[in-house]
Amino acid sequence: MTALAERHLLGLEGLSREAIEHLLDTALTMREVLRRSVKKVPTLRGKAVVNLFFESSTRTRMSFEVAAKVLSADTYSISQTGSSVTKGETLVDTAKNLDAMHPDVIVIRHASSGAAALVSRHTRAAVVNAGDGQHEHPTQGLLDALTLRERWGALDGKRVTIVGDVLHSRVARSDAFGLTALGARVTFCGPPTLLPPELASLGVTLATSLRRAVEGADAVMMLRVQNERMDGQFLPSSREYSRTFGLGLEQLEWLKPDALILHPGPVNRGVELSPEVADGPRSVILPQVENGVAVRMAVLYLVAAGHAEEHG
Amino acid sequence: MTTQRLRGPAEVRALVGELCDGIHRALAGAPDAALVGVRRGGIALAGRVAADLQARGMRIDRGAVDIALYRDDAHLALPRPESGPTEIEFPLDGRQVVILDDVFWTGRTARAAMDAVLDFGRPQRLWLAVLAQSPHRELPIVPDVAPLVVEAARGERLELRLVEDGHPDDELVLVRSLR
Repeated sequence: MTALAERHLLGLEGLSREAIEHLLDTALTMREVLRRSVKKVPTLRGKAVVNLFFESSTRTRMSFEVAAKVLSADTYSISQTGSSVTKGETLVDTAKNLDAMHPDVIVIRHASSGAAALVSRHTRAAVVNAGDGQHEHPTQGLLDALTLRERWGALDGKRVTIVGDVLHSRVARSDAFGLTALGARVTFCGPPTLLPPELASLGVTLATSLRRAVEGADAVMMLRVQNERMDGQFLPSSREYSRTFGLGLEQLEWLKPDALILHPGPVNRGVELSPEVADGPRSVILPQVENGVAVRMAVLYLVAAGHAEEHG
Repeated sequence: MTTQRLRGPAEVRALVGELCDGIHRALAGAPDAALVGVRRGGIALAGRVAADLQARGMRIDRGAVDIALYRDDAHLALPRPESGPTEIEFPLDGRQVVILDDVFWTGRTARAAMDAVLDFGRPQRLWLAVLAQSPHRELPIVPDVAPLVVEAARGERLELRLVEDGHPDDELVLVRSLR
């Protein structure tokens, strides 16, 4: 009954349109629960969800925690500091030891691409990827799809431009897989150093001119540029980046009047987005956050179901 | 899978009339009541019942409940949430509230629906009304109003098909799965 062919959610690559639509439909049911005054349903009572976060995160971690708690699962949080990881335990050992404690779902964020897949091979629990290196961040892709779908009804033929460090961005990759599966046309935009031609194999159009990339777009997703990229190898400086690829009131004039502005957070105000745009009427940044919880509830619900079926 | 028509359009109309009579009697004296249909079978039915009760001068709020998240078989296999979310956009505290479904079979859906509704408030009295029930109860729950009792075997289920849901005629059918 689950929409996921596997019982894990490691990425959106290869997921069918039907599976993604099912996840989004389920998320709408979940969001209604989230908006109630009594935010609790008994669905995952007795299930244990481990949040294993090897990278700092506020939004995603809190979002998964809220999602699990609203569904009545028990949640356990492990972060890199204060765990055996700092004592040199390998990820595989961590996975095996956690597995011996019978969790039902492991949510993992890790700096290495493929970490979630690795853990999934060493546990009986369902594994949900909460961001692995430069690979994927599937629940972000889903929440972006949900945010856009509910404003447009459908994504077919819509143009979505993703601006920033698309080369190193797991968000950009998951968005590319998810949004194109739903029929959108995705453009990646960034400086040439961050836009190698191979990226086109994701099924996206590449553009180095912000103006050309956002003109005619129905939505623009601005990515956060990590400070460590501003060392001159990829980008000269944050001021230079902001001038060329930042979205302020002046650049907003290039967009269609009803184009939406998205950001996966946290926003570097004044770098990729000016405060006026981030807080402006076209911004759907906060609806993205609410939809994030709903999508994670849906994912936990569906992977826990797959897990249950396997163990009969 | 085979299906057998148990009741045709005229008979279904008569049964809905009896159902409305039963609910009207149960709610006698309540100045305003709420009717919550269980997705999906209870939704179209709730529309008809609400219209009937309003025609009799009652004030009725109408809502919908999806019970997928309240099922007791989550450890076996979780169902796909039904066609839409729960919609109870009026207060329940201190009121007479009727949970309405098309069919009462084992009582598990009714149990889940009660839990779901009670998450939205504390009604003064909660009623359970269905068009038809079977003798296969698995929980100690009995509907307050149920105009029809159907003798059915295990592996059979009842389906109320109404024109509002896109069916050509109103009918009550018995569905047998072939094994």
